Amino acid sequence: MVNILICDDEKDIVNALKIYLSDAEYHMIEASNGKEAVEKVRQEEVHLAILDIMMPVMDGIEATAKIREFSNIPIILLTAKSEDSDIVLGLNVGADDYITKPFNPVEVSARVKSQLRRYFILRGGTASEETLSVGGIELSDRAKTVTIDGEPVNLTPTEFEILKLMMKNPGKVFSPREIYQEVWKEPALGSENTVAVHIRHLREKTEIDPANPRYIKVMFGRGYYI
Amino acid sequence: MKRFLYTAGGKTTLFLITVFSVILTAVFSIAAGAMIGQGFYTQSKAQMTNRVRTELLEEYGREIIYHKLGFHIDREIPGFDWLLWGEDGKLIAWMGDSALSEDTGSDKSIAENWELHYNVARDADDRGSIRSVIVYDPDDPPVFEDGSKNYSVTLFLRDDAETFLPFRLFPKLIAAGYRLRYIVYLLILLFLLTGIFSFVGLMCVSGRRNGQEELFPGPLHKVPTDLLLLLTLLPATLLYISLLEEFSGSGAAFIIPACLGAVPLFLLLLSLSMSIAVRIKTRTTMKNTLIYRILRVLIRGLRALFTGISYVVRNTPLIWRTALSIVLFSALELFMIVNFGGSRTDVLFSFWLFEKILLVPPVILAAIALRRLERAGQALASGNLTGKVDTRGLFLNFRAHAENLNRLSGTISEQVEERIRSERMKTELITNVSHDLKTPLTSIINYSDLIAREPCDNPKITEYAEVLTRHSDKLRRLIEDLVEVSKASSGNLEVSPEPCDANVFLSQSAGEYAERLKNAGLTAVVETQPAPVMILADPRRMWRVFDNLMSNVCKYAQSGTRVYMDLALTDTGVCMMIKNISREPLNLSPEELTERFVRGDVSRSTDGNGLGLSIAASLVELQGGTFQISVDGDLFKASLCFPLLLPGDSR
Repeated sequence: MVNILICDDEKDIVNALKIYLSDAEYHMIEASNGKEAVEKVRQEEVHLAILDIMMPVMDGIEATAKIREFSNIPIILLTAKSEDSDIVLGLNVGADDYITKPFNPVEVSARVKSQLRRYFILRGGTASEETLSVGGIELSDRAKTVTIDGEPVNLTPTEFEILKLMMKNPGKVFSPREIYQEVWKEPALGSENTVAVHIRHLREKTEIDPANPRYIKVMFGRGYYI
Repeated sequence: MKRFLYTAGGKTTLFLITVFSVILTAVFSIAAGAMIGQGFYTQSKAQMTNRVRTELLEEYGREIIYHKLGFHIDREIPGFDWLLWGEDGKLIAWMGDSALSEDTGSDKSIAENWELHYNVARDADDRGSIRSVIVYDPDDPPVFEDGSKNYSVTLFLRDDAETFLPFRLFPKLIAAGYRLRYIVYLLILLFLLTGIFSFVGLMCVSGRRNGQEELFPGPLHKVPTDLLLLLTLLPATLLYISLLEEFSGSGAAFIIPACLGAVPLFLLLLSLSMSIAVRIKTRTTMKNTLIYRILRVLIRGLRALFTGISYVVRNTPLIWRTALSIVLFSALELFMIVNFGGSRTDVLFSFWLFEKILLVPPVILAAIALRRLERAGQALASGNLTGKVDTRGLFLNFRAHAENLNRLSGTISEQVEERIRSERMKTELITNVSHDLKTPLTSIINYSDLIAREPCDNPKITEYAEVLTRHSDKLRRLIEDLVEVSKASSGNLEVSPEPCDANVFLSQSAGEYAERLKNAGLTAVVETQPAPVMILADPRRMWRVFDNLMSNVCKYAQSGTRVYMDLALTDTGVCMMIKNISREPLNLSPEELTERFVRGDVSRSTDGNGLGLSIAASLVELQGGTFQISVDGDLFKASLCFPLLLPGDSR
């Protein structure tokens, strides 16, 4: 049994989330503001929290910071898209992921599932020497396999090489030209679009929402990075 | 013609034409002057001939008298025989056979004869030798002891006299002069004009060469204009003047050395004119003078000195400057009192001391106050509005000024705060409205989705739920776009530009949209530059721009056509262009297309809200680029132009 805390001042949204996440495995705990949420996490055994950012009494960011003082459960923030500065702040104080309002039901359950998988199965730091791991992605060069939060993903050899290149250098921005030259091992003569298409496919396979990638990020006008 | 004149031969020809024209003009002018003097224009030919003839004959007679009476010589007059008679009718002397023929009845032929009468006075010394002989006018007799006597001369022109005798020649000369007396002006005019034209031509061609635009100043060009004139024209003029003085006593003959001397002077003047013409053409007449050069050096020196002094003064603190000035002036005053005070030195000294004690403290205090005010003003000017001037210890007007400054900074900071508050409120308003709109919208979307998922026997419910879902989704996008538009157009959007490669924008957009373009039946043709083309842009905002443009392409381009995405380098920057063929006829102008809520399809059947291009335009302009739409028939072209980021440019 997994306990999920859903915290939003809008009752209807809490209800909708409950319906989307209705699963035999999950048990929902409700809260209507940040303060309540922190108390619930403290008192009951909560495995994952979904917190709205804009709430009365205590907002989601503050609640995240408070929860992080005593717990390392996955926290997903709920936010309206235009408040991207809030997202950055939330991730910095300890949130693990975020969902933008209005949300897509499939996306919500996928994110919840992914966070729970990492929390229970991986618990971080199981990477061996042959495997590269960044966030929830693990890449085994020997077995030529890639898993996202423990779920295996099917990649073509080119996609695998691109992913490997970027995972070896996390944070480095690769221009399409550099990627082409590294992966195809030949000078890029106007073949940069091919790289962009491959990256797009790679994102579709690895990301829950390819338009808002969490792993393979697009630095538009410069390149790609993990 | 021009080609010839630009050669050395052409220039020489022009030079010679000028010289001869001027000389001939001078000669004819002198001739005309002489003719005026001789009465060519006032007397008839016969009158003139008579007059000149009479004058000549009288001159001959006078010569005969002078020589005979003065020196006892019988003067020979070519072509003439003569008789000299005394007062009493006695024949004193004669010359030639014919002179006596009248009396002797000789048959020697005589063309003409004239009798001329003279009043002659002789001045003799004690021993009777003649000192002077004067032929005089009977109305104005000279006073000599000897008194006056009447003499007469009879002149006979011999028939066999040579034709080139002056006496024979002058009527012909007069006749020739008469024929020429008007033509000479024509000649003067002609040569004057020729001279002027060739002079102008010479000035024009000087310094020019064939087939070359620039000027070729001669070796003289290096010499400063004033120095050149001083070294050549001045001595030449002085030389000429001394020449004139030398010959000034020689009467009519004076004209010959004057004219001959003028020729070299004129040649010099002409050569100098050529050099100066080149100077004027190269605009160096004034600059290429010694005076100009000297003045320039002087002015530069003075300016440097002034800059230095003002630099020192400006960089000395106000109080020090004041103190130093007081000390200097006081010392000067003291020096004057001690040296020139005389007997009153002690009185003056006590006055001086009294004045210093009275004046120095207030002056120093004023300087301190000024310094404080200056600092406050500087702080205010550099934007520090919190600092206040300490008004303690300030007096009179200084205190009032300090209070004014404080009040000013208070007013400004109030206004700045007001402005910041209103800016913040605007941003907050936009964010809050978007949040407040999105929260109910989230529920609408979620629950319409839930309705659609609910198993239901009634197919109408499913259909209605589907309509709800579709339209609430449309509403969501509209709200997002509206927030974006209001932020972008009110400048409430943060833009953090970074160096980006324009090539990458195109290839990434094409890559991201590869699938959707394929589904829309479009082929992307991406033409990038081989080298990176760096611009300053905010990647996130640029993605929004390209996202809007590319989704428009997918929505509105004619299936089966190609979409061209390319880069064009201009002088000032780079333009990224997306071109496609519209499916529907574009009967809207580019300006209308970028207006809010205007859509390419009038039927508004496709999904979209008409904000895409407006947002794209605002975002591009926020990043310092220009966004342009052009429509040519069915060809739709969007170009985004950015200034090129050069390797050395900082952000």
